[in-house]
Amino acid sequence: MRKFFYGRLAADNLKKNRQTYLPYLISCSVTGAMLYTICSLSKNEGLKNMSRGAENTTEVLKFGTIIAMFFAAIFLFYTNSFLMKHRRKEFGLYQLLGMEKRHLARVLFAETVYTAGITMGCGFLLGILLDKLMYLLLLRVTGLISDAKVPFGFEINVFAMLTVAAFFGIVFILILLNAVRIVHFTKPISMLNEANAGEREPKTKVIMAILGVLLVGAGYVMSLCATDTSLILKFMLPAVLCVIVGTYFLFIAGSIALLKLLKKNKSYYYKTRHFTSISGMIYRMKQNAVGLSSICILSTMVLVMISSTSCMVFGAKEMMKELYPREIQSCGMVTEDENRLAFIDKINRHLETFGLHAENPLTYEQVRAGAVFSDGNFNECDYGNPHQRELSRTLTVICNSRYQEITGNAVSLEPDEILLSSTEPLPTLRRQTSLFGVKFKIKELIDPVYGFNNTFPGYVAVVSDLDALKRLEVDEHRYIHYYYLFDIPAEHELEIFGDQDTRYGNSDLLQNLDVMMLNMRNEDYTFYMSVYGAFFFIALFLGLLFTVQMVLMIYYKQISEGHDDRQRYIIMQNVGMSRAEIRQSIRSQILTVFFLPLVTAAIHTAFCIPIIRTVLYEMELSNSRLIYLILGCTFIAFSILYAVIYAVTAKIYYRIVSANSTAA
Amino acid sequence: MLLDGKTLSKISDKELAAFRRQNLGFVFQNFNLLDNFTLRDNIFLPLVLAGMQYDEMEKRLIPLAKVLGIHDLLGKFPYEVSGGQKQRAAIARAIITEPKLLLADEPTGALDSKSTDSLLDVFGKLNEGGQTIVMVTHSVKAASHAGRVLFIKDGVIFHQIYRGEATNKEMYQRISDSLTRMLSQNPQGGEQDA
Repeated sequence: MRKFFYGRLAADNLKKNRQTYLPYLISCSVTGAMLYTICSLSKNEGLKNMSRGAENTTEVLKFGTIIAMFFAAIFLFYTNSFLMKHRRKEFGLYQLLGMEKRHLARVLFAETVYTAGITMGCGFLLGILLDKLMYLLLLRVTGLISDAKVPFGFEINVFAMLTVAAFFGIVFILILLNAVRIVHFTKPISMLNEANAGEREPKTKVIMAILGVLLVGAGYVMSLCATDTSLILKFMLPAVLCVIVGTYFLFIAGSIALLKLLKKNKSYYYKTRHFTSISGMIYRMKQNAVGLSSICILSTMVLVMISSTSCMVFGAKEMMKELYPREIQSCGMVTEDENRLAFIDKINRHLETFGLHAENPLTYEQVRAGAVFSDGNFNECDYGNPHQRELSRTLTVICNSRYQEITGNAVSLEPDEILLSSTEPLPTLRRQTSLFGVKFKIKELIDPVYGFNNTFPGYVAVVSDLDALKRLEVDEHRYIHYYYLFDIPAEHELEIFGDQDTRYGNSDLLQNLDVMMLNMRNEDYTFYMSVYGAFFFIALFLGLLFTVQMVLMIYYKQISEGHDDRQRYIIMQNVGMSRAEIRQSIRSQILTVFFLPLVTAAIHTAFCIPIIRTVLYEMELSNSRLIYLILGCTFIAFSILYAVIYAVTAKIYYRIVSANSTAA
Repeated sequence: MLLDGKTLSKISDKELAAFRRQNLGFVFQNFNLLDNFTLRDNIFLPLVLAGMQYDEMEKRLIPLAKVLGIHDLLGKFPYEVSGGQKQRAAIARAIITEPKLLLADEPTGALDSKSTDSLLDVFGKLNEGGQTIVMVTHSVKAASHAGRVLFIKDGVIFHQIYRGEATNKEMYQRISDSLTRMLSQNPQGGEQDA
């Protein structure tokens, strides 16, 4: 009987607070559904049994599951603490009516059980429906759809269900403990009064504001300075942390410091347009700074994640074309120049047995070996010496004709002249240098050459022609690689050369053809997409999850502001402000508060561009126009979504504000 | 109903707001001060809305604050001062625009007896200075300070009393008597007493 009573009370409470609880339940359910989906995808049997590449996708998904759970836990905790804050008065009343704290704890327990039940029930149902859709989407973006069999009907993944149930179990227990803690440590009277007590004017936290500016500035500078991989690895995490913490500081302290400064300027402050707005904004920022900065960080994350991963996916085809000028790229296992023709001939004859011939053939040569730079010269690396091994970098030597093909730069070189590029500064470099003991004059220092030394630290030298290249040739460690590139119809590739495992595994084909290495553009593309397509999928997924949470935060912000503003609205009307004036003042404040995070997120994202560009460049994606285009489109799409969220929640806000506001 | 010769229903919301600002001052039972403004800014609000310069506003405020005894509290926020002090700030806000008419709706309703006395003194001083005040109240004590008292029962004027030469104490007695009579009669039985 008593148990029944607490349960009934809990159910009543949820119903009574439905304006805030319903959105919470919906967002919990959606979060549950999404977690179930991603967890079930990472354990998908169909995906497991698929051809190569799929295991990468699965790995990325597992990683994504952990990230998603981490953020989901934070969000759930955050939104619940908001709900609890708004219910203090209610708890105070119950205690005043004679309920003890342990009784309240029981009510809270029953409420949590209901919430968990509804969340998991709806979440799993929605998750099972979503699962198939997401599976198809995943196959689509990773390009795995061609060799996937998608069974009809819905499946239930027990493992995913248990994982998500365990996750929610832990999170809800923590939430319950927190709620009980709040009730336990507050006196009933203070709970009752809390809502009525006037909001105190926030203090100016000058140090925090300055720190905020410094941190964000430091993050920006780090991003601008991160021009290569080693620097990015060093700066990325500190930069991100600086900007996140700095944003919180700026929103919490910086905004108030700025507003107070404006308030001190009397002739500015005491103007109709500024008077109510500035003082109103001070309180709005006090109440919403944390929420707003969270929204800002989330927006930045969504923007950066989606735009960078979509660059990877949409730029992939073009990137592969640049990386592999022809469909097939083979490198001969030949040390003698005479054998070169024989290796090409063997491949051509192999093609003929399938009734095909190489189209658009292209050949080039290069020398690639470990080199140690010391005292202005590039010397052979002694691999027996650990110190030398440490200093060793890859030195690639190519002919001028190949350099022109890649870059389009026409430079004329004498036989003893070279062009040189390096990913790291070479302080002792002089005009005269030697490559493996052969003397050369450096004609020009050039930018890192695409496809050679942008991925790993190293050097590229360009010599005049094949004869110059041959001068470097010495021993079995270092010889000229002869490349033979050509096109064949993509559908015959696997038939002719086998897939990567067979080629390098048990087949003697390459051995027989004198081929050391054979890459297919298509095959690499598939492999690439199985990883980066999955990243893109995760980015979309997390983007969706963040957006759901963001909508909820914005909704709560509007509701709480609506309740706060209602009284203010009535008073201002009484003092002689026309309804139009009030609406205009409130609208401008709401718009400022609403779009501040979006604008800040845009600025953050803009400062992220150098990092994004460098990372993508490292991944051989060099088309900056595409990067800007995608960033622009992502931002526009996100802004539209944001504006829609605004329009919908603003309606709720105005409904709250204008209820009973026609007094006097 | 006519307002400066115009029908009320034909005046726009904006004009009404301006009229309220220029001609009327309001004092309410629950003060209606904005929490996020200091007392000074609360008092300045109607002047700022009227577009007045800061120096001019300061000039008006200082003597007024002295009369109301709140000049030390101007930098404080409403939640930092007592109910009586809040109400005096609200009065300052109402009369700083030099309105033709000060409307007070149960101004003593939320005040203790000491604050009520001091508020009524303030009203008396203002009234002596030429300020017209219309006050709606349930409090006999508050009403006893008025020059003319109208009794309203269920929306109908039931009775009225002019002060004449009577003291506050005599007024209190007469109002008290009238109230007793009013409450013991049926609504139709209204009578006039000059």
